[in-house]
Amino acid sequence: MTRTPAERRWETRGDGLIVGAALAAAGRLTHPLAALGVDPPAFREILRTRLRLDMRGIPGLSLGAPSGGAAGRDSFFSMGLALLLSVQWLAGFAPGILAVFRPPPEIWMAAVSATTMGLLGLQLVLTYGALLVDPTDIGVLASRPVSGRTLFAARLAHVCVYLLLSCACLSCFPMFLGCLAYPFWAVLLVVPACVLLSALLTLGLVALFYALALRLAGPARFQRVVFAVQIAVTVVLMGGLQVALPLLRGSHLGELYTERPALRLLVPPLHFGGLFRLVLGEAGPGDGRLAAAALLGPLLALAASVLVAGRHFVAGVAGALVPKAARGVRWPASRLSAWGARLARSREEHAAFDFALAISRRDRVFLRQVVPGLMGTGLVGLSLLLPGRLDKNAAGALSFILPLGIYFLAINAPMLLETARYSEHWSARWLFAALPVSSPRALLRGGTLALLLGWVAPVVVAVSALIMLLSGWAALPDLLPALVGCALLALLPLPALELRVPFTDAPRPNDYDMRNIGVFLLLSGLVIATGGAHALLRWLNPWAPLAVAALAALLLPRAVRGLDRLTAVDADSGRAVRPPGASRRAPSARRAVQQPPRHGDEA
Amino acid sequence: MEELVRVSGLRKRYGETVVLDGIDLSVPRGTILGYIGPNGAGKTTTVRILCGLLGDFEGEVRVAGFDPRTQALEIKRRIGYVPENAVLYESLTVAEFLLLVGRLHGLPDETIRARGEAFLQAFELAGHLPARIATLSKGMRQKVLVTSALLHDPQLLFVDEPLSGLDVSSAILIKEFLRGFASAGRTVFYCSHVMDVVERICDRIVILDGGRIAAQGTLEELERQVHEGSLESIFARLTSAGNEAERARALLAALGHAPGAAAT
Repeated sequence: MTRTPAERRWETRGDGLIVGAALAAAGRLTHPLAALGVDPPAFREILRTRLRLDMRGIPGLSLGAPSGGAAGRDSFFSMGLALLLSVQWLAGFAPGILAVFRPPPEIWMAAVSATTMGLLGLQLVLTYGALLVDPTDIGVLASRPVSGRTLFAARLAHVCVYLLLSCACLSCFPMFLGCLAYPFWAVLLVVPACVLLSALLTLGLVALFYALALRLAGPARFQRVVFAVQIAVTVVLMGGLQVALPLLRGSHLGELYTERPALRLLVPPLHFGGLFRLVLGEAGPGDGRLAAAALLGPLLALAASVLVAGRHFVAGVAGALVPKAARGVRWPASRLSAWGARLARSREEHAAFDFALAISRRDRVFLRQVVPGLMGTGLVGLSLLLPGRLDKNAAGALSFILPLGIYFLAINAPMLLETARYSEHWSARWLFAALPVSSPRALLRGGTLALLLGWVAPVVVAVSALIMLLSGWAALPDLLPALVGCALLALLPLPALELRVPFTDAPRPNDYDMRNIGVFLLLSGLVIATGGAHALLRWLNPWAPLAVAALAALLLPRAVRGLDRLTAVDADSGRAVRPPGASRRAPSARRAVQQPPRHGDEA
Repeated sequence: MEELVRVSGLRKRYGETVVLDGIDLSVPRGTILGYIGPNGAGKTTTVRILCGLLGDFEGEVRVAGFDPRTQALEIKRRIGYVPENAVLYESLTVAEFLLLVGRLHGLPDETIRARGEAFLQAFELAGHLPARIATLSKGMRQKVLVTSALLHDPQLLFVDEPLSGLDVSSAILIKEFLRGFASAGRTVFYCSHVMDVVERICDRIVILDGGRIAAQGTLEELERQVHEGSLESIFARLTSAGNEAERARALLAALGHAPGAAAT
């Protein structure tokens, strides 16, 4: 059928396979959704819009370009998503290879499920959980006839799209390697199902927690409670294992598990073990209940979360993350700001220092992406102490392990500076284009100083203080060299990075800028190598690390001067602004792709 | 009188679309120029070029003697800019925002505080210095934006609908201020759709339509050219497609309301 020009004006660009599939699946769920009090047509439209927004990227600064969307066809896939999926594909190798050792089938399947739940749980809390409480479209939706349940269900479906992609990648290795140890038909049938159900259960539990937090804390405090929980869960997931294993060793949990099999119902990964045994025809007592829990648990958790989220979800999402500013302090005058004034080389740097410090304490994109990770790495550093505290035999190894926890903190510096580019109010960067800023490098240096002094240094100091508190003065010969090494590892790579002025870039839920990935990988390797070198020196002579650190400390002034050689990426053009005299690398194809499409004609 | 802005043969295109098509204008020091036109006429694009935000254009442009293509920074040091619908860093407090802007202009903190306090006092906003911008109303944000654009006492002020969202008292205050500002030798480039304000405060008026200047001069000169009695009717005569009443009836018809029928 030929369309008239008037009809063609209403045509939109194709949504592609993934959006089409998501909407088709949503269409099939009309009746269950309606039974949960969700408005299915509104649900589909919100889901369609959110996925379209993900695909179409972010409009640019709009300093002059024709209105319109991104050129070309929408693409769901980005380098960041591809990287994430690759990591998940590789992560499936660990539980997959376990099959080669032929453990009992229920244990293997529980390992596959536990890996899925742990990995996706961390991903949900760190990145995709923010999609659930993202306030960006609330300004549009709050005044429309959209119920809280409908919005919540649409957010869950949005996250589900990403989780399904993750599941497909995670299940590759377990499916292939599991066939080597167990009947292939059972593996091919159960592994994808169990990975999917594990992912849905994880999402359901996280969503149920959010919904309960909304009910208990109320809409006004909802964002703050969710943020606190996000930090807590990340800390537990990142550092909890190191803490839990020494604590569990010697406990009687194993006996309890054998004596009371019903307790297995409380450990979700074991549900999937029971399901696998049932499919294999090896079901034991209680496996039927476990299988039923595996099949029904995710659906019940998701349905319960939608029901509990209730009518206050819209108000909860619109709530503030940080408390209102204290009354009475008319002009800000913090001690850190005074340091900023002393360290800044110009008024521009001072302005950027205070600007970055203030925004970093309030911007929800920054807080959600940075604070949990900072706290988590801090706990990892501390948790390395625990085996030595609990087990006298391990105390000797402490001095070799302890420095690694401090060196590990160095990774925070470049990661934090990379993450700080994003802000929920990124489009306010027009200000920097309109004001007489001599170079974005001045803004970058001021902002970098603020973030290092305001965020990275306090974590290093706090962890060091706690180590001293727990280990006493005996830790000093290891701690001091570790601090010098940490400072060098944190500062020396900074000139190699290409950074944006803090808080001038739009957050992208599924994208990742690859331009600094090499530096991050190199730094990770250097951290391990430095930790190893420290341990070797310690083994040769207990005072050797201190002596080497005294020499290495001579490099510290040079490392600090590295802040003068930062390379800033222009927020509008994506062009790298290098320090005078620095060598110019050819811009990569990726860099060209990274330039955001320019939209609109409004400032 | 010295020309603070001089534009000759300004053309700007986005791809195939010509947004500005041969603009010639000059703005003498100490005057207020009203720059008006229908939506999409090219007002904002002109302002962005003059502010040094867009360097990709054809023609000759000088702002305070500087070329926006190569000396944008010099221009930005001398101008203030109040864009329409500006997005602000909402998590900053008013004080933090003013310090940021003032420092980027190289002002000492004492000057920023003194001028900031004076402006906010006049706007009855001094008590909101520690308040986050996110908590302010639209009018309050506009006052903060105007304050930030004036902190460094610019030679030339570009304003795009500066009265948007302001209460009556603040709007009168701004209009009075702009008159005094121009009398003190400063220059104002005033973009607006509010004709009676433009009529009242502007010394000269430029009417833009479809990227071209439809008419320019003092109000009296425009009245003589078009033989109309008010700026609104001059503007409508020069830029409108006409038949507004008929088009309004079409809107009602689209909603199923017969013209003249009582609302149900």
